[in-house]
Amino acid sequence: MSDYKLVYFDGQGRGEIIRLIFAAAEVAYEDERIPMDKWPQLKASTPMGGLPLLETQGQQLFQSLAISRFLARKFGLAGKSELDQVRVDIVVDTIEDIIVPIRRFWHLETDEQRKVALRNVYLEETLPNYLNNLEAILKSNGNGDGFFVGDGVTWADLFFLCLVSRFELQVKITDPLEKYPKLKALYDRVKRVTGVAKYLSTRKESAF
Amino acid sequence: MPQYKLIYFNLRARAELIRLLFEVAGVQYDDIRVEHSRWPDIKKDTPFGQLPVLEVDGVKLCQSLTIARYVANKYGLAGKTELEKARADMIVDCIDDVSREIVKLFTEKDESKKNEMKEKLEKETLPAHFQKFEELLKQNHNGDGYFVGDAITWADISFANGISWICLLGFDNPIAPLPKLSALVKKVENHPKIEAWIKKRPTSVG
Repeated sequence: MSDYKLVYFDGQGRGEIIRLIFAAAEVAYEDERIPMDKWPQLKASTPMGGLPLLETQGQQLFQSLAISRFLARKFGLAGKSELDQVRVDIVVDTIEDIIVPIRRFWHLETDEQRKVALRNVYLEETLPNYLNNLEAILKSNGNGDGFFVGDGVTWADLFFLCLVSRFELQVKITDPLEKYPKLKALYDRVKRVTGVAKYLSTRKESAF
Repeated sequence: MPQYKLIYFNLRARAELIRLLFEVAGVQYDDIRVEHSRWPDIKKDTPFGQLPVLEVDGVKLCQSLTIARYVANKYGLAGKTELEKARADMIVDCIDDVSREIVKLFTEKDESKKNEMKEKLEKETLPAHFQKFEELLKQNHNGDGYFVGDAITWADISFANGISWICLLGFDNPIAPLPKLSALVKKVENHPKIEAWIKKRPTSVG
């Protein structure tokens, strides 16, 4: 019986950052995956009608980023100083800003024409601007050859992996980091972090 | 005491929570409000072309909730234990989700879609959401205290600020039928430092 139970759907989505934090920390947890057809029944019994949920110490935590920050702090993946923790949060928020529009056109927009139009705006305007920012943040930390913040991996770097997954699975861009060599190198570096590499080697494919 | 400079437009929107936290903490800060006409100039000096920015002894922080969390943590308004901090974080994130829905509505250009969205928000989404917030509040001291622990935190302040902002934008008060939440908002707004700030803050359209 683990100290932690994660409840989410059978895919990456908003749950994956939590799984990556457990993986990097090499901490065991119960990874419960809810099939889509069971969700309508379960939804009403969740605190705010959504997933992921983390059950720990008799409590139910929700909101993926709040859960992630809680775990990351516990496992030493949140940044070592007060200022580093803020820097990590800034990177996470910046990545989240890049993800929010993807949800809008991949998941929420049902009109096919609007979907294509939104995707084009995203690819031509939104994304280049944000990736420039992200690369700039990385470069401001020791010339960008390490991690986003400080001198070790933090959950900001793990969240970056989630972003790239979304590019591949949802936006369907083939080489999203082509123009961003430092970000591309970071991506490879984070995938090689011990616990992360172990986890990725057995991670199953999913639609999202 | 660090030198704080908060830079935003003359709006509540994404800076008001930060202002409220400084006020409650009794901490001095420069509340700089940028005229829209000056924005293109200021924009280049911001980390990512966005406001608010908080300068802390010259170090520039961005992302409104991250800034608010930093101030809350520094001045004892974030929760006392790690679990309390997580609870406060998740409640603030839920309030932010609601704000984002409202912003989405305001940025929708198609008029008929906009009306459809507003109807859905007022009749379905907001009531259902706030019912859940009422249940969440009741988990702690039966809803007669605060959202987290035994004292006011940024979760309560963020909630009250969110409700006030929604009403400012012309929505019906979504918590009118919810007694515990209504009492909480009143309690927050009656906090002497918040009451004083509300009386003296500049008026704005949003």
